[in-house]
Amino acid sequence: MKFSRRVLFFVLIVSIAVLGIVPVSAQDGECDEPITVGGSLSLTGFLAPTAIIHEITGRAYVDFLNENGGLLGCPVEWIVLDDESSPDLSASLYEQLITEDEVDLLMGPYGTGNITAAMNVAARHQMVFPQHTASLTYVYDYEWQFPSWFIGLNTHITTPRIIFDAVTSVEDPPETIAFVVNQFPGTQNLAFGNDVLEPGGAVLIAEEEYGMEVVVNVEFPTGTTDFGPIAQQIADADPDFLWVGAIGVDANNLLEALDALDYRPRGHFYLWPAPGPLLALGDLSDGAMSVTLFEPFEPFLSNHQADIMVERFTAAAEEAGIPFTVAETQAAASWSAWQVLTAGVEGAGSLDQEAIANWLLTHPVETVTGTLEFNPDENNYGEDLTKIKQIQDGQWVVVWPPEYATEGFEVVYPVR
Amino acid sequence: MRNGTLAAFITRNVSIRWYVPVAFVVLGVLLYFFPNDTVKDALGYRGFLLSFLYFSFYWIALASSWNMLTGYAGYFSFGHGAFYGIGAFTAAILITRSGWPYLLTLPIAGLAASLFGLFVGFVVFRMRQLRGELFGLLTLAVSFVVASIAANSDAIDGGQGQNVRPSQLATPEFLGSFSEMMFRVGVVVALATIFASYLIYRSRLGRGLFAIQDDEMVAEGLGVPTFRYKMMAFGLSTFFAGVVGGMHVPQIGFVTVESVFGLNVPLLVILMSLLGGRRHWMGPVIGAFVINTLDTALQRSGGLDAFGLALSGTFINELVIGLLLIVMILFVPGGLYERLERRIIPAFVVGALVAALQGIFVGGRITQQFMVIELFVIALLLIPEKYYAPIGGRFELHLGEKHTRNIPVETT
Repeated sequence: MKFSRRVLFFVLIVSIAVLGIVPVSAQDGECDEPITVGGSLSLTGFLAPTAIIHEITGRAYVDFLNENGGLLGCPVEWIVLDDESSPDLSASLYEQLITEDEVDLLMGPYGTGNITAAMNVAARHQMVFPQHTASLTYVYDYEWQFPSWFIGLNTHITTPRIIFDAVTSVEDPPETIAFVVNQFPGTQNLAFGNDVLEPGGAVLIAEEEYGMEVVVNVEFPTGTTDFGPIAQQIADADPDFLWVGAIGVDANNLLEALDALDYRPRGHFYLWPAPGPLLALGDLSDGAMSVTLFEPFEPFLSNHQADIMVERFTAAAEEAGIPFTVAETQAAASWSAWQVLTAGVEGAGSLDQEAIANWLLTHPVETVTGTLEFNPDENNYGEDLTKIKQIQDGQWVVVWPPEYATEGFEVVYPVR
Repeated sequence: MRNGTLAAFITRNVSIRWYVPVAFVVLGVLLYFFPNDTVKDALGYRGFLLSFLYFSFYWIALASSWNMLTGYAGYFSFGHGAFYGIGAFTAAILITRSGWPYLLTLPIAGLAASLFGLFVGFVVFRMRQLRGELFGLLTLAVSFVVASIAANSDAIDGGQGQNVRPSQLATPEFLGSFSEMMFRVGVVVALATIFASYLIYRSRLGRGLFAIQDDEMVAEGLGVPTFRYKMMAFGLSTFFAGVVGGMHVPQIGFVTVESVFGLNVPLLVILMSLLGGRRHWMGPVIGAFVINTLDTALQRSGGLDAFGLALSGTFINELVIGLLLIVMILFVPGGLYERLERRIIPAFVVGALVAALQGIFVGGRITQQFMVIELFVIALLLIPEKYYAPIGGRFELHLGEKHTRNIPVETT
């Protein structure tokens, strides 16, 4: 009898708990509530130095959007969560945003790994997925993903070519090259290609198309901070040109390690560096090259909303207290992803995911990086909009192709 | 097992209470139908609850699998991520390159991890000097080596990861939508892992492992086949770690060396088992659920401006879990289960009252509601025995087994 009473008591307690926990109603999506856009960013972890640019840009864009009537006449709220630079956490946060927060729209996270993981979640839930910085172009066959980092499907071929075109355009081009590559999916794809599309990758292209001799080819794990041993290999080989598949502050760490050996590269390229910290190195980073989709000069400033973005981003970056407040590729990629989302929703005239996707697949979108036309046959990529920039006179300037070069500047090689 | 099947071995060597397997089956059936539309409509829960519970099952299975060796035998492994990662990559490669159905990859993932685990165990357990901290360091080193091989091998990762796209996943329709399927697979894997952990705990093997933990030399002297028992525990532990790794592949989608071989997995399972209690099969279950809840809820805390510092949700998350662990180690070193089994009725009363009050007056996110309930229950469990006993002692009810055991003797 005593046991039975305990069982009844137990059941009663559990029932009360269940009644207490289970939510009773779902949010409705009336327009008197803001339209919610959900996404994650790497606010902490190794991607944070660059991801903060995307946070600042996103907030600046949402403010701008709301000041101009929002989306479909409704205010917009951006729910951004910290994925700690971890793809699996990013995926679970998108799952949470979709199934718990029931957000109306999605915005992609920062970084190839996080975007790739989050895109799978968006695909499962059939939600439109604008994203700004993914680089494994060949795996993104989800028909409703819309990239704004417009580097073309065959970026492992087209991007190395434009870099080598730039550096071999000089009178005395490099003959030897060293590769130092982060074991990060995107940097690996650019350096070594992939087994899905036609052969490519910077190593192969440097050797076969530009006749360079590869004298160093090393990889390093993501998150590496001590580049001493790699720097020693570079100094010993003394290559004419140094290709670093760098992310964030890899470039700074490597250059400081090289400086400790009193070694300066004759020519050096960094794939996706945090632009501010690299510039802050002063003489050490002089002549460093990188890719860009946007710099705050003409002809980029003539692109749609470019002047607004530059003004807004700079003001927001100064307010946030980050050291580098110039609007460039990262900010532009982010702003243009928001422009894609905005154009899709306004074009479709609704929040229906299929309608938004169909509109984007059939209309060009004007953005700060240029006109984006999504080609479903090429995983929604179009032409490669990559340009080459270089640090000269303590500032980033565009040097290639010539028609995009900042007035008065051209490729400088060698830098020592 | 020398002269019979596994079933015969279990029958001969395992002493279980009849209602426990029944409870597992009933719980499994109930949970299996939890994502059913009728149940969902009746309870009115959001889809995220399935996702949250799936993650709970995932961590419960992973922590329970780690505890099979470390909790029972005291061999502290920092290399659980290696076996989990082997399982994840095995499943991902079978799905993406060979087009295997998802469910079929799970036993293969477990076997691949277990075979590697047995190989490592065969080498390590034969060396008497590799006990204690040296075993921990060695498993950590194994984890780094495996990660490095995976990162540098085009056949495994090659630096670009394995992307398992939804279109590549062949899953049976009867398991429902993606989140329902993951929930159901999670239920089965978690219950199977917990039940295996329970069987070990209640068996001659478990008693032998506890004897090894208490004093391996003495255990050997008493006739415990220490090498065989450690191999069995490690084989099972790594098998379930591999299965969990394989199970999680569709959820993470993009399998990379950093995401599956990182230190996050081994460190979290250690925290979970320490929090819940390593010397009982229920310990990791409780620890995993509590930490997963705190982790999920605090990530969404939105940060805090305090003491002139802008504290992010991530920072608060790490701070709270770290502080909780310190408090637990200082005041309840045996883990939550040690106290919970004696304070089960008050704990349920407190938990239910907090749940009801929250549901009626506060509302909010389901994970944050769970978190508040858990924090109240943990506060109850942290009350020192001398203050609790005069009032709470009258509600004492033992649902679990006593920790003290007779050391078994099996002649070899």
